[in-house]
Amino acid sequence: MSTDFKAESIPARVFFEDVEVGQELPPLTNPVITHAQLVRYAGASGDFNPIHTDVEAGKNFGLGGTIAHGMLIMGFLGHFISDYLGGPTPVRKFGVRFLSMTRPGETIVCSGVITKKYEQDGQNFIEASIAAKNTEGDTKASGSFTAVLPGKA
Amino acid sequence: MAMKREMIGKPLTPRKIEVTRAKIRELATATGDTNPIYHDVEEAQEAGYKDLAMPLTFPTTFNFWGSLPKDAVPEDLGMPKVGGLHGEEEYTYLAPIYPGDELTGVNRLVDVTEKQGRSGTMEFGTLETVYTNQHGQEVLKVKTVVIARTPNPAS
Repeated sequence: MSTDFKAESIPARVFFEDVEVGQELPPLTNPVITHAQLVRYAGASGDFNPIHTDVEAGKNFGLGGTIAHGMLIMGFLGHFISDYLGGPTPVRKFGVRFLSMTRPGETIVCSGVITKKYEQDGQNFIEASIAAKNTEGDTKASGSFTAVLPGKA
Repeated sequence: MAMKREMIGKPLTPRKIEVTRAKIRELATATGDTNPIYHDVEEAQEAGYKDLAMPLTFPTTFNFWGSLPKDAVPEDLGMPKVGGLHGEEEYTYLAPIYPGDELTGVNRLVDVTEKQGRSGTMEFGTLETVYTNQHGQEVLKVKTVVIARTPNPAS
């Protein structure tokens, strides 16, 4: 399914031989989430649901204020994966479940660990489990990604 | 309001998306990613990309900034307008996507399940969207789970 990426000639940052199951990925600590960031993310993504941007609307909905877009948290995880691999191109699959709400004032830390390493159809695959947690350790989103890596040979 | 199970499997009207540099930069900035491959065309090309690279969650913008024909909006599937929860999101990347690409996205409701909780009913609707580029090549699949909550009547 990945033959369409073969025309790309982007130098790899991570090679298959360097990856071991159980390896932890370099964590990413994001800056503290601000209300202004939620407004900026609303504009960038186009998701103007008022529960993310309007404090009164969030209160009226019983949330006690605004909550972050789940996709902002997944965006942090995308940034984290991109930093690890040197870019987005090796990624073939990336999915998360959203587990709890995030509010302005929280700091989100992304982490991950390699869970699988295998060859299939002449390509080298790795899989990792990933999570976005606040500094108290509450998980906001968790999931996994699959990537194709070159060998050194 | 209940999700419309009669819509399961039916492709909605395709919608068109133009991939633009400005939106890529904007999304990268909003998520705090300053990697030049998402911001500077020259640096991206020096790094081996044809143009700005596409951030992994950039396709979220296709939902909101793509042209939305009336019958492709989630309301027609019985999805909640406000207060729906985003349960899951999964991307399968099939081929590179670059600025200048013109994508066509087709949405389908593929599954609806229901769970009874203590406080009410929760419906889980799974949507799948397949994006094809201007050369007719499938480039991306997206799976989204939306959760709708209907509280029990106050007793």
